[in-house]
Amino acid sequence: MNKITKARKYNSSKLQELLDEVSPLEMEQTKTKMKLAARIEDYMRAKGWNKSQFAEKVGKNPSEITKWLSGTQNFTVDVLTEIASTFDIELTALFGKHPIPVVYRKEIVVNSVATPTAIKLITPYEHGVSFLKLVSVQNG
Amino acid sequence: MNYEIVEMEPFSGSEAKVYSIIPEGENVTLFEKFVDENKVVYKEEIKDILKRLKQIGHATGARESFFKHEGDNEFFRKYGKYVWALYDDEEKKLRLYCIRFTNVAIILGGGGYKDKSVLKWQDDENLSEEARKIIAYAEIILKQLDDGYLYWSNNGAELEGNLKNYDNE
Repeated sequence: MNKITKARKYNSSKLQELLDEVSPLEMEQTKTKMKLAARIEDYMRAKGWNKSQFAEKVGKNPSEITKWLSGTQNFTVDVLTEIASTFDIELTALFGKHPIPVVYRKEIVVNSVATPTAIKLITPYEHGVSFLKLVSVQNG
Repeated sequence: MNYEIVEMEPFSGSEAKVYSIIPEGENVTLFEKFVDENKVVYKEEIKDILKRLKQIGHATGARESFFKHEGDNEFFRKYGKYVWALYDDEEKKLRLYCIRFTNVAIILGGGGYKDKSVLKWQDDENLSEEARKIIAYAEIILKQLDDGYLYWSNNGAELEGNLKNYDNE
């Protein structure tokens, strides 16, 4: 039987000194960028889009979307307006606090020799969501 | 390979636990060593990393999109996606490796300067050493989790158990 031990708390004066050089405003700016990125990603997932699909909707490369979602992007108002418009939401919603219901989907494709030749199952697997969609896929 | 996993107090928070590793015989964590080695030449970039780590711990959690998947194919096939680097775009000069457990926890490793001309860590001696080091730690830690020497707290947020992994203790 293992004894329960938690990690020792570790603080370093050198790290703290560097952190002390960061002003509250700088820290807030980083927080805003990261929370904004998280929110954009949640809206993207809520739409059922992956990065490539989102990139296509906004006419960008997927690598640009990776940067947008990294929490390091300093967005312009024009770009944020475009993103909000793509999600069909108000610009202010990107800065909101209420959680965005995100449905994660998994796809299982079962090949078969019978008709229909394939069955595509699409099901959310995030907790709290319970529906199953059955789609028959025709070849050709 | 003896080491201790410690919780990094300024960064660890309610949204994600931030840990690092102190190898046996050393006084500082792998992360602190990385900071020490780079804080003079790349001070602003180091401060940017510190700011982001603090927000990961206290505001956002360790979301996948804040990281880049790293490691090698052999490790990935065997264990899955556990070795990551904090996101850095091509303009950034530093790379920081970590072990990431979904959104809830990260264990910070070391890292170093990344040259623009280097496309893979395998092509850079210093990054190779740091990447291989974090891969080696990840293998041991994942095995410890599999074997029950390390485990997650009841709320799934904290690592508990044999956090000081010394042969003689």
